[in-house]
Amino acid sequence: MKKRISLKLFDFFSFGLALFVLLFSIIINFSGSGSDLTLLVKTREADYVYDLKENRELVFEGPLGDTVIEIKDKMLRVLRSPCPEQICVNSGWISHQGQWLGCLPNQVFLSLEGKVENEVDAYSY
Amino acid sequence: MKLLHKAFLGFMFFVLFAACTDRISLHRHRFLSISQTRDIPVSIVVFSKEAPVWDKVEDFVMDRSSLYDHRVDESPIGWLNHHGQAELAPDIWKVLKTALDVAKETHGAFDPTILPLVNLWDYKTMGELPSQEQIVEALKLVDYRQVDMKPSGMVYLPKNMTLDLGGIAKGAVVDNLADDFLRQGYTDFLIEAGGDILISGTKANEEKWSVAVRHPRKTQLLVGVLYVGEAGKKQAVVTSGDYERFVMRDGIRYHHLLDTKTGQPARGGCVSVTVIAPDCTLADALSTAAFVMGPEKGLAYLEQKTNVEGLIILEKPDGELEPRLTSGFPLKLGDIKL
Amino acid sequence: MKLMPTVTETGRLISILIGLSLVLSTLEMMIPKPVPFFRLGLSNLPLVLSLRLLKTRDIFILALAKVFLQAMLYGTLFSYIFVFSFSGTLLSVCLMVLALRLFKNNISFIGISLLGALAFNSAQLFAAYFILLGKSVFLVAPFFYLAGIVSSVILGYVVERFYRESQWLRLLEAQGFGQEVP
Repeated sequence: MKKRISLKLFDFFSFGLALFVLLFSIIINFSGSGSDLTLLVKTREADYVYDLKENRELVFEGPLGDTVIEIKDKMLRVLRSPCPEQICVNSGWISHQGQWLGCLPNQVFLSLEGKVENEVDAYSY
Repeated sequence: MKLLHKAFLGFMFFVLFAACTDRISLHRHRFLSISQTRDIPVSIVVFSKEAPVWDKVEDFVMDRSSLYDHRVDESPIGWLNHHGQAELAPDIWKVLKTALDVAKETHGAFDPTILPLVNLWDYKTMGELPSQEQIVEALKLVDYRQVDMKPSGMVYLPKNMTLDLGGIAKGAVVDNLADDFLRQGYTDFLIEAGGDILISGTKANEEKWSVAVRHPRKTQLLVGVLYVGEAGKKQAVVTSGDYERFVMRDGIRYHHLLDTKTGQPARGGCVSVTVIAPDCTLADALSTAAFVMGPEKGLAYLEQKTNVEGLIILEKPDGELEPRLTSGFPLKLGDIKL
Repeated sequence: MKLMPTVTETGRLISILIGLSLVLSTLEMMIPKPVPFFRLGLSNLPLVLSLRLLKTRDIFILALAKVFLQAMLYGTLFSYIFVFSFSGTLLSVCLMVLALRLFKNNISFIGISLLGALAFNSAQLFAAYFILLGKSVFLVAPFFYLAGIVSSVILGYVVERFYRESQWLRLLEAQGFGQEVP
């Protein structure tokens, strides 16, 4: 009698499907369209909130100097930073809810948060 | 706030699956109340141990809707219109009484005998706008003072005059359903029928219900969110607006809220009127009346009614919208986004 | 040689499986849950096992009987809980039967049970989406799926071992059950 259990071809297919479904269910929680996102900026001094609708450059002061960020087409990146490693600059663009960029040496932290939408019990019209 | 809300819902979800039946949980049902004349989306939320029997609820709503419909010949109102007299059941008599009371107080700004005028301005079949002669002719048959209600339940109508509870029927059905729920022992629920809202009690954990008022021009926006509800109390929130049913001709909006003085769609300057009142029938009548009366008179009228609050959004001549509130309205002017 | 189980034998096997299912579900109710959402789904063991023993029609009889009897046992027959278990069970049985008929011996009970759990969870989430909570259900979806995946793999493993090693099953096979996947 065969006692060892070996996985068959379509078992792996099932595992793949399960993984896909699981990842998909996680992703839909963290995806949001860019227009509804708010940019949260934490610096050594204070916290700031911006929307991503307008293309612009923003400057934040840290202990090392000025960190310049760029907002373009509802995406966000660090344009210039005075830090030695330049990790934040090299991280490129972020555009989805839950994504973040940080510059530890200059103590600037950027994250994209979902906009607070109104979930209400009923609508009067 | 949102996170809390979501966490709460997540928690409810967990309760539903992990625990079992003997706790208070959220029951929700949505359906379309289909009648010969209009389909109205109905949405109900109940906090209770057991869910109501939704089939019965649907039947109830549809039965009551046809009861108030004058287009249904065998309905009490249809009968009254045909025969000039009828004995109404106490609950229907009460609805008509509410309608006539508001009509008296507002000198006909709200008028349940408006049917000839409504037919003339039927926005669905309207090709040409009605002529002045037609309007004058129709207005001869519009006069709430001619309706004779006896405390016995008998109601008499002069020849050719007709009643139309269309303006408050939705509210009346919602009230009837709410009373039925209360009789069955449900205390905490929300009923919404085509934008008319009645809440009873509170949500779980005595949280207030949130009711959003839609923007009268940009439908995807909200003017504000009201938090209402108190244990053991009913409250209705109803909005009447010129955006619900209308036709545009030469850039002019011809809407369904008609002024019985002019025979034309009301031009007092209101765009929408939201009323909070103890019951939905009254809220329906008051919001229509205040709309027709215009922002100043309408607001003054709502202000002097007890247990009634109102929000009026008016359109200034330059097209800009402006909100006006009664003193006890649960929003501040600064909270209102237009 | 093709051996066919008689009607009486089939009926008896279905009854045994239903009984087993109810006993297991009662047992499971008594065990406290380590994590919310996490149920081993022991009562589904006979159902999964039956996939290789019974004809499609009989599998559905077993599934329906399980859903209805469980609901009667716990008094949930006329509540939304029944909608969840009914839609979930039906969809998962459909998918499992389909998978087995398609993949035959190229899939083990582990894969089958996993597919069943995915279908079950999906049906429940959608039922919850429409009946109760709207969009917020997607917030708990990952935990829900994760719990389903873990428990179904464990269940699948148990069924696979049982299927290979049980003497009772050899007896059933001798009666003609599960000779070939129809």
